Amino acid sequence: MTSNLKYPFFLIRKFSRYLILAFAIIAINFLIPRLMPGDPMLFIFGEEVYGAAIRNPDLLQGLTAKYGLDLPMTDQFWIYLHNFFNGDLGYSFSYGRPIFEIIAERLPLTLIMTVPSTIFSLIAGTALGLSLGWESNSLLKRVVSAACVIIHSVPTYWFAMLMLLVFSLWLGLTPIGGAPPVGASPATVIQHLFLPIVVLTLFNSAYVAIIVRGLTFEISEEPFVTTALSKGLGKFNFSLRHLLRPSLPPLLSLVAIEMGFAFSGALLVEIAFSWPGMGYTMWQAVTERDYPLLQASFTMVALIVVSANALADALSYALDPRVKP
Amino acid sequence: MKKNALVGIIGIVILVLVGLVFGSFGGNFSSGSPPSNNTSAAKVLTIGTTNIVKTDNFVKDYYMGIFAACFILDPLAAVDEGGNIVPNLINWSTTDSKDWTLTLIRNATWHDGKPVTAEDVAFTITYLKAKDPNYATHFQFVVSVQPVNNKTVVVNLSKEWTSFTTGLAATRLMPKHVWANVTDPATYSGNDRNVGSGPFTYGSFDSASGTMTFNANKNYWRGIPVVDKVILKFYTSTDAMLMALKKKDIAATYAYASGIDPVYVPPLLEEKNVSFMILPNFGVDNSLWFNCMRYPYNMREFREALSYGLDYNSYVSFIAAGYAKVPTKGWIPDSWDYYVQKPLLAKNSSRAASMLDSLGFVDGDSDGWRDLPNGTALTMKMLARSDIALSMRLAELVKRDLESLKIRTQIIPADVSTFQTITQNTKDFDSAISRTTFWGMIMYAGAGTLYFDNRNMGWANVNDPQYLAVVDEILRNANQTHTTELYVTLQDLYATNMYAIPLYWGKIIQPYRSDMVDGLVYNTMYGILGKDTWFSVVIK
Repeated sequence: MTSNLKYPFFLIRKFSRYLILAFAIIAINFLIPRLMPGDPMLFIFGEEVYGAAIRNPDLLQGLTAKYGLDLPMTDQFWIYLHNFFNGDLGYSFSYGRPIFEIIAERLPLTLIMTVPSTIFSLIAGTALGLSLGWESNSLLKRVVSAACVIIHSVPTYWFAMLMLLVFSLWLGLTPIGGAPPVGASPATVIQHLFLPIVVLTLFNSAYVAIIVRGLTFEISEEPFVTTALSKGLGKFNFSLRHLLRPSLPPLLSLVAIEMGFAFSGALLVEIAFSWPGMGYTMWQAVTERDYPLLQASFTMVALIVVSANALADALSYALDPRVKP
Repeated sequence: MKKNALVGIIGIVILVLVGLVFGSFGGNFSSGSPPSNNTSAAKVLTIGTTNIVKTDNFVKDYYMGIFAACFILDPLAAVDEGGNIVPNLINWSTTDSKDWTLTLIRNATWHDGKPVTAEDVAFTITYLKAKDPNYATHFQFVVSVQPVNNKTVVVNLSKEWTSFTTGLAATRLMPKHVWANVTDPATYSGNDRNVGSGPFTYGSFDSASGTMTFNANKNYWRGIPVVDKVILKFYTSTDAMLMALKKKDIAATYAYASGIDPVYVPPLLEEKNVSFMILPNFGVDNSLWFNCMRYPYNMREFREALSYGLDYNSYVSFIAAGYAKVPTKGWIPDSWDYYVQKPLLAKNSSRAASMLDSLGFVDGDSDGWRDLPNGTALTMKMLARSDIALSMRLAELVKRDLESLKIRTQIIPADVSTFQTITQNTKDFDSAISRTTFWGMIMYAGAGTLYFDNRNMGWANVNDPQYLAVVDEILRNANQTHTTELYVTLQDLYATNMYAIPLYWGKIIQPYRSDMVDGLVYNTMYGILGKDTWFSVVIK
């Protein structure tokens, strides 16, 4: 095989694996909600009417037929696949609306919070990790390293509440909850976004910094590093030009996983800030056994993670000569 | 090749990210007009709630149904402070509990100016029975509904059914001219979907910022509400909602059929301007339910023995923070008019142990735990709601008490869906901890029968012929005095048989800011959002 063809073949091989994985995910996402205990009919009837309703065969049959739950699992699965590949995500039991509409409404609320925090945390975490990775007995570095571990270990909800207490209740700088209202001014949007983004950025930065610090520490003991430094290259410039590159493949994998969180939202942060994004929507769907909404949300998130991983593979090949096609 | 690929991929990633961020702004913040803040002259009341509305269709969304009944629609019947169903838009009469005459007694109009007529009443009952699964059970015995003139409707049932009035209290009158041509009300999104005859007209719903607004209806039959506008603010956590109360973002909190968890009270007591309404709870704030069709929980003596092992005072102190009282053996709480005093429940470990010993539940294999009389191991599995922190805390205390009797106990955490499916449908459980609501107490034959009778919701899975006969008699009987006598019989049966053990009788704790609002009236069914509040509330 000529070297010109190596890269396309590498991509085809990788992507065909991801394609199989994606199909498996679509199938598993159909099964998972149905394997959970609980009955979606509970929320259709209401808790106090459910008992009488399930003892009324006519009523029960009519409703299960309406929602397609009377069909054998295999039939439900083929309908789900057929609709999915025709771009029809289905109809939510609990919202009474097409799922596409719900996701179109909730996903932007999540992305506006998670995309900036993911970008900020990658930049800040990488810079911090690179700086902390060089062996040193500096007290400051030890304190910052410990702080990263502590921040990442603190329960998210508790930390978010602490931030609300300080910034909203005591200082009165930010609202206590809710996404910005429709048509809000940029200043209001920033006010609403500030705390959720700060909380997510702090958490993710600490995590990225811990990972990058480990990678940096490992690489900094390689002979080429000693050679480069002995030539008089400063540590900062060296880190950016020579150390970051070999650290990128594992970092890219990390980013790929973070993308999944970016789309699924950060459930506890969304609950703390009364932010009706995808995380909260999926949690509600689990509670109410809203099978179609669960399937669609899980599948969307899983496919984004798979796509991000595929992209990370492609980038790793392009960036790191050690990655063999 | 590699460089080109790299540049291309990075370019695509940047474009996607920029697109996502701008798409987010475009989708939510650049369309529509901002809500008006010009409320300086208007009397505005802002209430915080964790009862989150997902979609503003009251047929589809449970909490929208509650708020619609509080603000924009008028129920056919109401509930008084004693928990009795009383006339609201209509009065009713029946001689046999089978044929009912409903009469419109208010001069009500719809928000669009059209008059409310008997046609609307007949349409609502017929339409909801056909289209809404909830009402298909409320009105399951309705055979025909006919308006006989502009004010009167005659309803025929297939059997005697006194619980028909409960259905009337649950029914929010719907305008025929809006809904008659709507085939699927659960998905209807027309602009007139929230036209009602209630004290407020529907304002707006912003699911992103979590706000819903209602404006005073100047043509309400009872007069003009004293508050011009009500804003509901939705919070996904109680912690955040109470912070908003402290910050004066909201004047009061709201939770349907309950107040706040007592553990939140101590920090609020430190707030100078936060006051509390402490009210009787018509539901039973947590009972230990037995599956009365499963051995050994089907043994009355076994259930009674366990009742002596429980430390009720600790539940009052640690779970209800003192805002409760120790219950009696009679399960129906003293908030009800027909309450009958029974002996107080009290811990008596030695009596519990001797009863269990005499029943043969002894530690035969000396492993430290009591076994069944035939020698096999006994483990009492206790379902508890994992989505309610208080329920899990209580389960731990009950487990502690039962284990002190050497009854091995296992807590099975279950979310609401799992809990209700198991207790109401599969019945694969030994015992469960849960509370009842006021609404649940009055449904079916009332007096909590919904929760006991295994022909209905039946958490206790009771099939005791004597109990079922009393329930059937209540459902048939049209004489209120006789119904009260039958409720007394039920209380006797609860005390004697202990199908469920009440763990404590709690209070409803309703916080509000006394520097922002006064004159709130607590309604048994709808709490502070009941109709009386709108004619007495004072905005400060």
